[in-house]
Amino acid sequence: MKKILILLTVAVFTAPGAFMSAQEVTASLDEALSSYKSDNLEDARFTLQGALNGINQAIGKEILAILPDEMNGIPKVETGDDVTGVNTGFAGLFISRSYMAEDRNASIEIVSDSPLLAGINTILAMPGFMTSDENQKRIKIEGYKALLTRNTDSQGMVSYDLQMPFSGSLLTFQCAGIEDENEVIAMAKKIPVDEIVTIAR
Amino acid sequence: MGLVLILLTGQHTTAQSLLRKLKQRAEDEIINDVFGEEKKTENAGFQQTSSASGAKNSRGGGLTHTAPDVAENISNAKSAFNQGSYTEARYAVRQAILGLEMEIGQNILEGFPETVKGLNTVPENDNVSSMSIGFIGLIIERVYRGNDQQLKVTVGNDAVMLSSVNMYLTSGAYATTAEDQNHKQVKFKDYRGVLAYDDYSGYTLSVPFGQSSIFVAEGTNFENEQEIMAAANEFDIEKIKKEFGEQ
Repeated sequence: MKKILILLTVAVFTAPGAFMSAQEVTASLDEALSSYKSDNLEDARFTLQGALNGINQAIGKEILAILPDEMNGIPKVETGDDVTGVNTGFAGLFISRSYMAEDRNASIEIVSDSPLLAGINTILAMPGFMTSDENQKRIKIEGYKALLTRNTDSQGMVSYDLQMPFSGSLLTFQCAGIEDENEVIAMAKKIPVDEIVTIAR
Repeated sequence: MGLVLILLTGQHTTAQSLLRKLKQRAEDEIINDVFGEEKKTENAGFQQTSSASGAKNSRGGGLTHTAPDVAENISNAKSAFNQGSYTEARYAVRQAILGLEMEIGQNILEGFPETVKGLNTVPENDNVSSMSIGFIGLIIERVYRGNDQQLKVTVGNDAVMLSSVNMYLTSGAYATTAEDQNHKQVKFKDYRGVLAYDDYSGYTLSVPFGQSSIFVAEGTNFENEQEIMAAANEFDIEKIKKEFGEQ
């Protein structure tokens, strides 16, 4: 029984489609080209969509490699990293890392082609915004404008959302259990925004 | 105002001189108007500036719209990926998908009839839209017109618009919403579809097919259900399905 369980676990984690290797991406591109040349357009399209997913995963892995392993003493969740399509099925670029400690947690998410982008960009571009909501403010991280929102739940637990649009993508940093806004901003400043922008754009 | 002050202070000589000057100037203006000479106005400088910034474009060839070269973009993607330039590879793959979807769309448009029940194609309204990322997908449109009637046919693959129709067809809610007189399930060829009517836009037939495609026919000023169904019947869904590679 134990052997069967181990085999099942291995099968699940090595299932095809979980992650595309570099060789698989290259093979998909070759296959797409040959389908296209033999006028099989729909097969070429389907294969290219798979290759695109593989390329997004490669970009996601590069970004995960430069994200901090801990945030002000909060360690990352070892199994919490997520890249495009692995758990979400989302077609664009999606990267996520979680940090967890006993009384506080944080997460970083990067989503390309996010539907939230337009609204956030509007708020960031609005000069009179500062007076509209006392729980929101505009800040800058490595020179990039971002929107910081303070939330308080029904039990008085404080959490913060920081949203930073860049090149058609949205970086979101969230943390809960930290009251001090300056501590949150200091944590956000540990995110290598400039490098992420260079890789993801 | 100056003239009033002068008159009130009794300086007749100066006032008379000023009146003469004004009279002369008025006469000059009339003569200029008659002979078409340009008036010199105080805001001439402003007008010149305004005219410069509002210059009208009178030349230019517009933009060329050619679908991206699929084979070239796939090759570019491969070499960029092998060099570790992932964002370049992603861009090239998206361009290749865009080029492919444009070709698929054009093939489908070529398979559409030229006329439908006496309505003629409006060629300038033929449209293929692609998001080149797959999940919003490929949309193909053609419009037919004649007299006061219009038929707009839209075919979407991987389209977001598919979800609401599928939800309607699979929810089982139809049987309990007898008061909804503007929607009904219909059988179209071998597929189940939804026929909708409203006074403003007319009839809309939506038919999901394959795994992720939809056929929509919108008829304006069609007399009845039979007429819109007969018009939609002119389209070969099996052929479209084949182009999409759908089962």
